[in-house]
Amino acid sequence: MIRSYLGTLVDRFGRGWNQFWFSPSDPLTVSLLRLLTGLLATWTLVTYTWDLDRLLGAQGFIPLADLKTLVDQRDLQSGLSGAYRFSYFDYLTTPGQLRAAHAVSIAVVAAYTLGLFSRVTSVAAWFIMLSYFHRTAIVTSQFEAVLVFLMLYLCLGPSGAYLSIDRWLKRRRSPAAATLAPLSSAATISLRLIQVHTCAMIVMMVLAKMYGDVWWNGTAMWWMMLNSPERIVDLRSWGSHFLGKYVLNAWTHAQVLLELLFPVLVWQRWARPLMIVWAQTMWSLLPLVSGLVSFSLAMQIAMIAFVRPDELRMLWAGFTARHPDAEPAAS
Amino acid sequence: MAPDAPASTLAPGVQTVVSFLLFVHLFALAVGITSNESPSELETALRNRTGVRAYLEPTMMDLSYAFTFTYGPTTGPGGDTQAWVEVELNLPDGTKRTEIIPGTFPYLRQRARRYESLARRAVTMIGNPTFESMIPAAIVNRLVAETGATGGTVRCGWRQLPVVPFQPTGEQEHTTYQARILVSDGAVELFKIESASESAPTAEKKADQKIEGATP
Repeated sequence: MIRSYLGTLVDRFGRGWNQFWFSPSDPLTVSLLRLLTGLLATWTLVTYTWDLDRLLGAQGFIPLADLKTLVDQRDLQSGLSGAYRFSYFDYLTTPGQLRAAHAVSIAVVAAYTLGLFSRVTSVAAWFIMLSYFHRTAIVTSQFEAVLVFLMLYLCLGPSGAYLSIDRWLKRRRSPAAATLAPLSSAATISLRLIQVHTCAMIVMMVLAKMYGDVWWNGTAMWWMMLNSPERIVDLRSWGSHFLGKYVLNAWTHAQVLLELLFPVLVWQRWARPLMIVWAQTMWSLLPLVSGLVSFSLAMQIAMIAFVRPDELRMLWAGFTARHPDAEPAAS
Repeated sequence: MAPDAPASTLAPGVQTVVSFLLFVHLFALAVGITSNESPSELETALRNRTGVRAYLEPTMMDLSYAFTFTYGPTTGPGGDTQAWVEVELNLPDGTKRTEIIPGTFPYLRQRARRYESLARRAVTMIGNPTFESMIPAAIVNRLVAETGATGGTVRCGWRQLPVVPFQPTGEQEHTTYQARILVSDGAVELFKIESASESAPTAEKKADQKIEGATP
């Protein structure tokens, strides 16, 4: 009986595993994710332009020796030793070298965004972003952590299959080529890794919030406004009205509830659309009080990984019905 | 993904290898995530001794993802309160220039956030004699190289936020580190000011002569 149970367990797990990771899927979603993460990554690099010497320079605000000391100190406090963080900026010493490397970096990430030589530029763009973030490790925040794993997983799938120059060139060379790109297991692996990683991250986010009173007593959104000089709107005065307090309380509770439910219910067919819409709404609202625009955009992009390609096509069809001049995604 | 989806496009052998790699990746990720916040000895050992760090650190996935966004009221600089570094420079023409980090960057919130993180990092290290002057010294060194300043003062501080929710009053600024900047013969030194007296140099950074625009 035990042997039968174990045999069934292993068989079911194996079949479930294979279906989850390897069932081929339409690469439209990974292509859309590549475009959006590319835009965000390109913008991120552009924002470094004004601070090359100060943040990335050998004699800037973060000298390399200081960075290594601070990172090593953090690791030692965690019982860790040694570090394995590489950045090509570690080897650039003059402002001229910095500028040249920065220009090339932007060009490569822009090529990735546009879907030019996607297989190569996706890996190169990921490596470039890592180099920037490792070199400025003590000034990075939540956003960089999300962007990096999205870009890593998009390296695995055929993210240039749609919405890309690669596809345009392919169709130009061979007009008879199929309208639809072939289904791909690599696209599924890429999407699944983004989904699993996103859920793990949200679990950790909500567990961390459970430590704080402010997420229990409904005042977190108000504190966030108070603490964030980069907030987009200032609703602190709402705290002086009972209705405003209730709104801020409800907003806080809704954020916690979302993070509690999302990792569980997003896998349920009937709940998934609701979870995605709810999450997109909450991540849209968060920057209003926190100023975390880039992080919220990265989270919104991650949420798109849960939208099935056929649903994306339906959304696109609805859009093109209203805008007949728009180019269809699949062509 | 769909129930009637066709079979994998990967060859069975490739699929087996990929499955193994997925197991390894997910294991490493789980160890990386859980070994950041109050790790057990097992988690620390797994992270240190299984090559997990050598895999996760270069890929920047050795993080806890414990993003709380706010800790609420803070009574010290270690929370999510606002921190600042203010450098007042004496320029060669006799004028003064003040630079405050973080500055204001309308429409470029990512830039603002980096400088906020830098200021917060500087302030949270104050009190640790080994590290407290490290970031202020680096900032001063750079600004002296940019402006050719001959001296000045650097201050680090943080804002004490209200402790009662929904009552945005009672903010106070605390200066927790203050040092005099001395520039001589290409070297920038910080003399920490403690109360009314001055202590020995806490940091000494030789200005690199190769820096463009650097003025000894």
